Amino acid sequence: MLRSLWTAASGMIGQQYHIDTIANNLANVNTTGFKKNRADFEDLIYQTIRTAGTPATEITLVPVGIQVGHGVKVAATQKIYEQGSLQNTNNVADIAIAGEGFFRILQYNGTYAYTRDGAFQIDSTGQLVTANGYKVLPEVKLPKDFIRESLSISQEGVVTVKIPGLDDPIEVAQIEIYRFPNPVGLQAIGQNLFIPSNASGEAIANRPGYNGNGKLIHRFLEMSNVQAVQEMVNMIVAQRAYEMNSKAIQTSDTMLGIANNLKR
Amino acid sequence: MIRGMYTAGSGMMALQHRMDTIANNLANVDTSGYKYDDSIFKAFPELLLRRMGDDGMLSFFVRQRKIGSIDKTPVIGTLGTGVAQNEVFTVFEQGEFKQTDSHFDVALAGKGFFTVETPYGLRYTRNGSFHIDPSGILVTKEGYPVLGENGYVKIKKNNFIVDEDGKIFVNNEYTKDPQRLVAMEENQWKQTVFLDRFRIIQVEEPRYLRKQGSSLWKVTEHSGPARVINEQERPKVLQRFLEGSNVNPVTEMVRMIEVNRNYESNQKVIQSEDQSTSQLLERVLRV
Repeated sequence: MLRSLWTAASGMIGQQYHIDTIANNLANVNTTGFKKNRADFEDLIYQTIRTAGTPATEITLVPVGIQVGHGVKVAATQKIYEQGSLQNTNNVADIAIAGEGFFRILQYNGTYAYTRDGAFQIDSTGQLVTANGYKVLPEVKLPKDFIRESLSISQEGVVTVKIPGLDDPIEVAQIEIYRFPNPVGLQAIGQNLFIPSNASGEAIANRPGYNGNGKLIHRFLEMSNVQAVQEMVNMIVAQRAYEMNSKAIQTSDTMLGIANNLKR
Repeated sequence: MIRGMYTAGSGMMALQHRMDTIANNLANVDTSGYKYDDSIFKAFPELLLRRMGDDGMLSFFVRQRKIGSIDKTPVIGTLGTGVAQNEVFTVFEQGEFKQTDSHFDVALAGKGFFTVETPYGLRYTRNGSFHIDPSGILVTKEGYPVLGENGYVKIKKNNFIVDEDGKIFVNNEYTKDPQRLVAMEENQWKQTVFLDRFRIIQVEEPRYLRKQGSSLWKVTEHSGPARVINEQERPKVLQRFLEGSNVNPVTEMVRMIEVNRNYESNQKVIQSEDQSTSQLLERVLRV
């Protein structure tokens, strides 16, 4: 059958992925710590119909071959780690990272995951956990009878709290943040969590605020970095590209119809 | 049998090939650094038609004596025998620039290609959507290292700047310790040093470069070997930009309509040849 049918179909599939990415970005326009995705495309392999350099006549060679492309593929969906804007929440367990880095989370299966979503909770044992109940590492364990409103986290990650009967706040923990040589290589696993991969490199633990690490901003949350206008423009582009490819399929179909009509 | 049928058939087949090219262009309407293809047709060799058994002389005789002659040419003329696809020609027009959020994105403004090292040899690309691998080497999306003039380019996120000449600068304060990662805000560029320059190449005849897929091109014996581009031809390198595809959707749509209609007219030719044959069989040769 016509090659162009499949070529155009690959274009439509590619644009579907593009729309999927955009839809996911838009759906997460209000998700804490969400980082937008970008779909990148590359052309597919080329089929050689005639090789360059084969003899055309006894004394001449064919200088240019005939190569027909087979369409397009999604090469990568890349996370864009731009800083999201910070929103004041006044919640004592909320922390935002301003700058580079991730919090480390201990999942139920015992492996580490990383997140920029600092909407934490304090559980019944005084432990700092995520909204899903995963422990924040290094562990932040608050004393039993702490005064909730006195909890304070410095930009450098020092957690202090007051307990009744003592005038001075006591230091209970040091929050660390983790960075990767190539954060784009992290794998998103949902629930605002990322896990390292071979491409991202190993996590490097750091104190917040030093050596270019992000600072912790207590009682703030980092908003999603999705920009609605940009996504809308991308959506228009993707939809029109989808439409164009569908026209190529229609044309191929008409051509096949014409060919079929040869036989009356 | 009837020549016109095969001629029109060759037209339909060639147009199918052109449609394949158009579909590929449209599929890559959003592919960074893609250059559109144009399919070029050639006419089949022409036939010289000549009447059979005719020497071309008409002589006049009076009582078996030749008194004169006129020259009536036995040559009828030439006849085309159709069309074939001759070449797929890549048009290296500049694509438009799209601003991006990634510092690893670079675009070329002007002629030339980035050099990429693959396990199969050196390849060339205009798709500047790069990344780094865990050790900090600049790679393409397939993970092939992008070459500078001195080999691999080893950089860190937020610690490199590309100027318009394609020179890569790093801040030497942060280059020593691999564990030391850098943030955008803290980098004061106090010890800016020249690291390397993108190896941008050109070939004698870019027309004969061969597309490999994954936005890569390969040199062929007709394109000539890749050489580092002359200083005066060197393209501008734009950081945080990507070069869009140079496919013009309007042109492709118009060409698609053209293909469609040409295909249809070729079909009509076959149909009328068919019709005349059937008339011949039904009416003239009725016994």
